[in-house]
Amino acid sequence: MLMRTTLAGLMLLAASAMAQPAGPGRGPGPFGGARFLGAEAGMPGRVVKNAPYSADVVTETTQTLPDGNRIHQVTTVKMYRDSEGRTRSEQSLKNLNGLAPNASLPEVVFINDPVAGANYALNPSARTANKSAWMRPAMAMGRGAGRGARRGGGDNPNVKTESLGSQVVEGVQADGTRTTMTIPAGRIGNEQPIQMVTETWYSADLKTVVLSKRSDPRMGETVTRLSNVSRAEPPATLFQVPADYKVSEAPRQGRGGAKQ
Amino acid sequence: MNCQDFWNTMPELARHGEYSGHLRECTACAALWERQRSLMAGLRAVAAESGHWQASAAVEARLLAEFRSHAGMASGPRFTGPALVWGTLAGWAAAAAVLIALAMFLVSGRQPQLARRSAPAAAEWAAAQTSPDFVLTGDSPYDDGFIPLPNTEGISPTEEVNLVRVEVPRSAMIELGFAVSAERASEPVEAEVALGADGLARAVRFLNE
Repeated sequence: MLMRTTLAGLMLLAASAMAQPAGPGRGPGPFGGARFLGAEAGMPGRVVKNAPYSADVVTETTQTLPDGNRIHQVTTVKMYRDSEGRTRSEQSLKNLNGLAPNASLPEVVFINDPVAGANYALNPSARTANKSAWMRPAMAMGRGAGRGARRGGGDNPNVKTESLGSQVVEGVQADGTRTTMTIPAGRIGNEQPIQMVTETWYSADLKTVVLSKRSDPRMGETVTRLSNVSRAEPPATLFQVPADYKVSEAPRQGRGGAKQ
Repeated sequence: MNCQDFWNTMPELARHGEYSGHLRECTACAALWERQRSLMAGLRAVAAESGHWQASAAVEARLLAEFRSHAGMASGPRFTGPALVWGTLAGWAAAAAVLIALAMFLVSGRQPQLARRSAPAAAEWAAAQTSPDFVLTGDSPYDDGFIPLPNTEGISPTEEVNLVRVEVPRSAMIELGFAVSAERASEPVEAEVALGADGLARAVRFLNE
């Protein structure tokens, strides 16, 4: 009987512990802030070979509120791609588009290696790497060749695409396209038609968009540009996990489908 | 009797109804008391479910001897000297092992649960705030509970997407149309955030509701 009582007490203690919030580094954290728990390299992008480069991808978003107030945010990602199609992106998480205000989130590095069939999310401050094996399904590859390709007008009368010619953008030759999408009046309860304009400048040499401008009256303006572009082959070590990193496996593996 | 007096008297050990007067007068204590009773009932249920668990006879004998020695009960053989020390250590080690094993069993069984939007209009609201070409369906792995963040561009079918897991205040869910009570607004909640190739957060899903 006494033994049962003891075990019951232990059970109560364990159950009480279970009532605590889950996750590493338990504790409420600063009010209004956020805490970084981990990163995972997800579905890789289209594999592009024989077009190596490195650049800063700078994205500026500007939103003007009805009272004249403005929200302006700038995000910079350091991007590398080698001739085999491996990519590496280094970025500061900042506040995750306002989802994690007042947060002190670390810099993370994502490596996608289609040759080895592995993807990594690195946490340089903790010297850790999270390995995953997402692969892009073959069927997705035919649906578009880039960020601008999905907005082809086709037979949709509400989508109009026009060429802007060719010019040098950020030091590389690029072809421009403007796509205007219109939401007719009444479609989503709007009294007047809503027009969204996207302008993209695509470099055939880099096989990527070097400049895009997007204007949506509901969201404001977003400009993404490549700067400090270098077409030199990035060092191979950038696409490898440093030897002193502790590597763990992500629980989700290869859900995307077959390897390209 | 004020609130401090009430809790200082350990009301959970009192007879039923003895402190009902204060609970009738103080809604805060009444709510806390009800929550504590519910918690205790749950814990007792867990304990009852594990009532069939048994330690080995040797461990039980040592624990019994140790308890009896502290309680001044002289029955059965008593350990003295080194035997008493080792018996005590073995008993506590066994108890600790049971506790750790139990905790690991319970923790391993806890998988994050996707938050459910309690506001039916949340999805429609999010969709209305998002570009009509937002892609999070079909063959995308990000169609499982992810909802687009307001004022963000869609994810292209061929775009690289990465994930970041963070713990944010529950108040962050309000902006996306989830119903969150004011009392729980500062509580943490786990979220997975999908990042686009430009590094911007595009979509989110909340895990442990």
